[in-house]
Amino acid sequence: MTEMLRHALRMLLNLSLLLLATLTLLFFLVRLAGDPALILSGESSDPAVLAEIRRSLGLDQPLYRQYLIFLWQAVQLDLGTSWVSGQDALALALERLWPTLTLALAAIVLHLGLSIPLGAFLGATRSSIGVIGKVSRSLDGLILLAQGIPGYVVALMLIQWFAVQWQIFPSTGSDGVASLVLPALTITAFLAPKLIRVLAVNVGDALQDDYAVMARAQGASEPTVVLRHALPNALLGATALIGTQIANLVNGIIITETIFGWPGMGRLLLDSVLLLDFPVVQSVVLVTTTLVFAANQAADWAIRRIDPRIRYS
Amino acid sequence: MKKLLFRASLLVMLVLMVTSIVSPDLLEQWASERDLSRRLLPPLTDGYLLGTDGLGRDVALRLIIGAKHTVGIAALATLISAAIGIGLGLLSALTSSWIRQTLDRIVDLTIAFPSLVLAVTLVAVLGRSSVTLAFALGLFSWPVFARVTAAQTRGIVALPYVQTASYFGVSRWRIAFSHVIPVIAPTIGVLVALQFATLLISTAGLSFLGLGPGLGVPEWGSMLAEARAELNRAPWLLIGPGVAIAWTVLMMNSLAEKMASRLRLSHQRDF
Amino acid sequence: MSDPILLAKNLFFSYDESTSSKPILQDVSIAIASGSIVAIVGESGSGKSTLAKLLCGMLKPTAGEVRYRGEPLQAPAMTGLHLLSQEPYSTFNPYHDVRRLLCEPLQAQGQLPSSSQTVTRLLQNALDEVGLGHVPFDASPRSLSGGQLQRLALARILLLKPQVIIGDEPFSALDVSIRAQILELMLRLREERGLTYVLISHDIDLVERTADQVAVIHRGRIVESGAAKDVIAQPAHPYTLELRSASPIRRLHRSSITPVQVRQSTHTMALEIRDLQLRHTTENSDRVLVDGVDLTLERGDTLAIVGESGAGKSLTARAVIGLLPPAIRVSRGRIAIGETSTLEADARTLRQLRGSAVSYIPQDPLRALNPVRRIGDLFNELLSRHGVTSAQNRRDRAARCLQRVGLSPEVGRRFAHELSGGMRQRVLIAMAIAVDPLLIIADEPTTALDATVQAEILDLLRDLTDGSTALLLITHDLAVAANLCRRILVMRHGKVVEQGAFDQILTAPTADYTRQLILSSLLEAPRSDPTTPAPTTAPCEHRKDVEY
Repeated sequence: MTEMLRHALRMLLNLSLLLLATLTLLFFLVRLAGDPALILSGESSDPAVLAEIRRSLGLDQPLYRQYLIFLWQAVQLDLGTSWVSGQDALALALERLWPTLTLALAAIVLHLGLSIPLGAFLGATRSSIGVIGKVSRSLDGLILLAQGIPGYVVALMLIQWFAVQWQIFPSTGSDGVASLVLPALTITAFLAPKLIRVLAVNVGDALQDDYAVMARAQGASEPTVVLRHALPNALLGATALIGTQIANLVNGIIITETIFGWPGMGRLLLDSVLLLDFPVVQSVVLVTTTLVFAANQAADWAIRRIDPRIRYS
Repeated sequence: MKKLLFRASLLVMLVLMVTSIVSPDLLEQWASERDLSRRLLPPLTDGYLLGTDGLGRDVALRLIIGAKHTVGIAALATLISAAIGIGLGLLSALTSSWIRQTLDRIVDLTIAFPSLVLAVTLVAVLGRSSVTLAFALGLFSWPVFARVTAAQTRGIVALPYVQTASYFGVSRWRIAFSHVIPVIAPTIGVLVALQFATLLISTAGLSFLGLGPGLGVPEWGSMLAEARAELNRAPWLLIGPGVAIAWTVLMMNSLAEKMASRLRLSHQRDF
Repeated sequence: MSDPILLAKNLFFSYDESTSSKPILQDVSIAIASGSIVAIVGESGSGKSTLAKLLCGMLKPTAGEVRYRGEPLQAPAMTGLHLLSQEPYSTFNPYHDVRRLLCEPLQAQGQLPSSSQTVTRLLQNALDEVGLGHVPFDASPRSLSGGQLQRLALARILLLKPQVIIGDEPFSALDVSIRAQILELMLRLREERGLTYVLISHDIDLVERTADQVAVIHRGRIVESGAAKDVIAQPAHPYTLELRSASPIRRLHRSSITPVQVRQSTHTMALEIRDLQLRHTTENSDRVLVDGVDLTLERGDTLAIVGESGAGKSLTARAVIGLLPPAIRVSRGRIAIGETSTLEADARTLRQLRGSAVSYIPQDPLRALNPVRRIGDLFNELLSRHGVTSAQNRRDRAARCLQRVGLSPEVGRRFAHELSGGMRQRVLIAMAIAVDPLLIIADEPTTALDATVQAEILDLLRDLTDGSTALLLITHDLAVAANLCRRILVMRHGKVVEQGAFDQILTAPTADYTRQLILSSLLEAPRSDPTTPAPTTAPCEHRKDVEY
C-alpha cells in the first residue's frame, strides 16, 4: 500500500515538474512574441489604451512578479481569458476535449485493429514460399511505401476519393460516425506503418526463438505457435514504441483536425496560434501535456500488469 | 534489380537536390512566374511536365526549387536536434551521476512529448520563417539522439578495453573521442537518416498548416496546401508535392534500413 | 620476510551496497612479497576475479583497504601495478592498430617520447621482448591470435615499467599448447625484470608447478593459505581437498569408473538414421553441413553424439524432430522414429509425433520457456494437444510429472523467469516425459547451468531414462556423455568419426580425433566449469540462482 502511495506521489511530482517546465517555457515564449498589449489592441497606437491594457494584464509589473503571478494563477487553474473572444481560456480548451478524445479513441481502435493482424501476418509469412509469400512480400513493400507518405497527403487523397469523387464520407464536420471515418483513417496512416513493421520483425524473430522451436518440438501447429507463443511476446516487445506512438498520435491529431475541420483541441490550438491568442494556446498545451503524461502512465501501468517479467521484479 | 532501382533513385534525388541548391536566379524567376491565362493545366500539356497551379506557375519547376526549402529546413532541424542530443547524451553517459540522473529524467519526460504542440507555438511566437521552423523542430526532437547516444556510450564504456584504457589513465574525453565516437558514429548515422525523414514530414506538415516560410515560397508543404484549395478542380496537383515528400522520406528510410542491416542493428527496435 | 609490496587488509566487496545481498568477498586479507609468485585458487564464482580487480585498483572495496608499496592504492597503473586479463581479445579496441594500442597508455601518462623515431624504437623493443617482433605496427588486433594478443598485452604492460602483474586466469582462454609458451615467457620476464606475480587460477596443477605461495578462496573467503607445495600436498581444508581431487588428471579416471547401467534392450527400434545429409542452401552458396550419419537407437538404449561446436551434432538432432533452421534441409537419407519415416510423413503426422513419440530437451531452458506464459499453461497446451481431453486429467498429469522431476506442483502457477536455471530445466524435462515418449533428445541439456546444478540434472536424466525410453544426448563434453550414455558417436565437420560402446572407445579410440578429444577433455577446466562456455565479458560473480 505504501509502495503504491509512493509511486503515486512520484508520478504526481513528475507531472508537476513537467507542467512547471511547460508553463515556464510558455510564459517566456509569449514574452518573446512581443508586447501582448500590442497584439490585444489590434496594433492600436494610442498610448493610453496600451497602458490601460498593460495594467489590466499586470504587464506593468517586473518580469519575475509577472512570472510568479502567472504560476500562482495557473495553480488555481486560472489561465486567463481568450484575447479574441474574452471567454475563459481553460474552459474553451476543455470544451474541445471530448471531440478530440472521441477521434483519438476511434483512431486507436482502427490503428490496432489493422496493425496487429497485419503485423502478425507479415511476420509469420516473412519467409514463406508460394502465393502467400508473394502476397506477404508485396504487402511489406506497400507498407514500406506507406511509411513514406505523410498522413496529410493520405488525408488529401482520402478526401479526393471518398468525399469528392465517390461522396461516401463527408470531408468536414463532426456529425455522426460517418464523419469520423476519414479523420480516423488519416491518423491511422500516421501511426500504422511503423507499428506494423515493428510487429512483423518481432513476430518473425519470436518465431525463431527457442520457445517457438520448443513449441513446435512439442507438436504445436504453426498458427498456434504464431498466435499463442510469438504474438504475445512480439506485442510486449513493441511496447517500447508506445511513447513515440502517443506523441505521433497527438501530432497526427493536430494536423488531422485542422484538415477535416474537426472541432477538437488540435484545431483550437492551431487557430489560436495563428491568431496569437496565447491564453488559449497555453490552456491547450497544458491540457495536452497532462493528457499525454496520463496516457503514458496508463500504458506503463498496463504493461506492468500484463508483462509477468516486470510484474514480479 | 531492386538495388539498381534504389541507387538510381538516390542518384536522381541527388541531382535534383544539387540543381535546386545551385539553381540560377533565372530558374527561380521562372518558377514564380505567374501566367493567369494558363491556370490549372493538367500534367503533360503545353510542355508543362506536371501542369500548372492555381496561379499558372510551373509545378515541376516549383518542386525542384522547393527541394531547397523543404529539404534544407529538415536538414537544419536534424542538425540542431543531433547536435543537442549527441552532446547531452555523451554528457549523460560520461559524467557524474547527478547530471546523468537529471538528464535522463528530462529525456524520459520529453521523449514522449508531442513535438508539434510546442513547435507550432514557437513558430507562431517567433514569426514564420525557414530558420524558425527548423529551430522549432530541432529544439523539440533531440531526446531520441540523447537516449541512443547515452545508451550506446554506456555500453561501450563498460567494455573491457575501455575499462583498461581508463585504468591506464586515459581521460574521459579522450576516451569519448578515440573509443566511443568512432564506434557509435554508424548508429548515429542511421538515426540521422531516420530523424531526417521524420522531420521532413513535420516540416512539410507545419508548412501545410500555414506555419512554413510563407506565401509564395515553393515549399512542398505549402504547395500541398495550395493543391488542397484546388482539389475539386485539379486533383493532380496533389501528385507532385505528395510524391516528392514520400519519395524523399522513402529514400531516407531505406538508406537507414540498409545502414542498419549492415550494422546488424535490427535488434535495436526502439527507434 | 620484508614488507609486502602489495597488501590487502580485511577486504569486503559487494556490487550492490544497498541490498542485503551476500557480499562477493568477505574479510579477505593477503600479503604479497616482492619478487614472489602468489597464486589465488578457486572455482568460478568464488570471487577470485573480483579480488583481482580489487588488488589492481579497478574496483574499490566496500570495506577494508589495499596498500601498494606501503601506501593506500591510488592511480595504480602509473606506478607499475598491472592486470593481465583472462580475455586478451576484449582488452584491445578492435578498431585501433598495434601502434595506437601501445601508445595510448604511454600518452595518457605523459610518458610518450616526442620523437616518433624514439617511439618506434621503444615499441619495437617491447614487441621483440615478448616475441612479437615480426608483427607490423599497423596490424589490427583482430588479425592476431589469442596467444599473440596476450603477448601484446604483456608488451603494453612492459612499456609502463611494471613491478607487479596480476594475472586473472591469463591462460584459460588460450589453446593448450600456447599456454605453456606464455607461461614460459612470463617466467622469463620475471627473471629478467624481477617482477612480482599474482596468479588467479582454477588450475591447481599449474599452481603447484609455478607458485611460491597459494591462497585458496571459496565463496568469497580465503579458507587456506601457505606455501604452495605444502598446501597442495597436504590440504588442511576440505575444500582444497575437493579442488585437488577435481583436478583434470583425476577427472577421466572418475568418469570412466562411473558404472553406466547396461539396460535391458527391448530390441524395438526407437530411432534409425541412415546416410543423413544436411545442406545449407542460400542464393550464393551451397554447403554440406552433415554428411553420411548412420545410427540406430533401441528402446532403453542411450547414445551420446559428441563433438565440438560446428560438428553438426545439434543439426542432426534438429533434423530428427524435423525442425531445422531456415535454409537448412535434409538432402539425402532416411530418419525413422519408431515405425514412422519422418521425411516422408505429412505435417500433421509429424506434429502428432513431436511431443508424444519424441521429446526434445533444449540447451538453454530460460529461452526455451515462453516468458509470458505460465508453466501450467504450457503443460495444459501440450497435453491437450496430445489427447488428454479432461482438464482435470491434464492438471493431475502435470502435477505428477513435476513431482517426478522433484518439483512442487505449485510451480505450474509460475512464470519461467521466477524459477532458477535448474528448476527451468527440470520443468522442460517434466514436459519431455509428460507424454511417455519413445525417444528423448537432449541437446546440451546441462551447458547453460551452474556446476552443482549440472550434476543434479544429470542424475535426474539418468533416473528418468531407465526403462523403455531411448535417450539421444548431444554434448561436447565427454564427462557428461560418460555420465549418461552407454554408447557414443563422435562427430567432426559433419561426419561421423567413430561410434561404439563408450568404455571401449574411451580406452581404445581408433581415430586420432577421438584421442585428441579425450585428451582435451582431460585438460579442460575441472568440475567448476566442465563446459567451458565461450568466454563472455560479463562477470559471472553476480549471477544469482534461486535455491529451491
